[in-house]
Amino acid sequence: MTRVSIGIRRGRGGHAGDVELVLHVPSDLALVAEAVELVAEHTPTGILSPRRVQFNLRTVLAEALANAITYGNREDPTKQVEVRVEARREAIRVTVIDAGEGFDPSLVADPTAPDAVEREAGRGLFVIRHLVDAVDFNAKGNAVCLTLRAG
Amino acid sequence: MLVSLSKKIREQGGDLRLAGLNEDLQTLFELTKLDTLFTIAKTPAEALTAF
Repeated sequence: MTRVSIGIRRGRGGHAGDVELVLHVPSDLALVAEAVELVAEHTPTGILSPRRVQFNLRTVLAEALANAITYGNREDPTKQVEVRVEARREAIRVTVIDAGEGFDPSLVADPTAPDAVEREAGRGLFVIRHLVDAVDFNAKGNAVCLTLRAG
Repeated sequence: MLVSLSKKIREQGGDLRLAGLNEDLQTLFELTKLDTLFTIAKTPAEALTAF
């Protein structure tokens, strides 16, 4: 049975409270909820308000993982998505890396345009951009870093 | 999924209405402007009276 694996390292940023998580998630949408639970359980979220942890962090991770599995890895069971979480005193950074070819995020259409509202997909990245402080892609477009600053 | 379901229901001459969304779901519907696509009521009773 394929499962989500998790590794936890503490204190690497020079502060005892800092935590780094590394998860490997098989390309199965049924595992998104389990991965989100693991991150929520092991990330010290004291720097974020309860709402930002329970809603923003969980929602953006679920959306980014679903995108990575669906569009990045095309649900290929031989490919995994890597999730890296760095929880520091000033910010929580979540990086989601898929094994796909990457994409150009500037080409993603606005899902709230009048002709787009009835589309059945394409809202994930839009939602993510509104719920975090920064969204950064690598040049290839197969890794996205989401930053939630303290507050 | 809801968009697809709503389309199918409308094709059959029906209408899908939503009620009782919590704060998180309400936020997501407003953010994505899906609140313009669905009738969203506070309670199921309120949703039914709008028919």
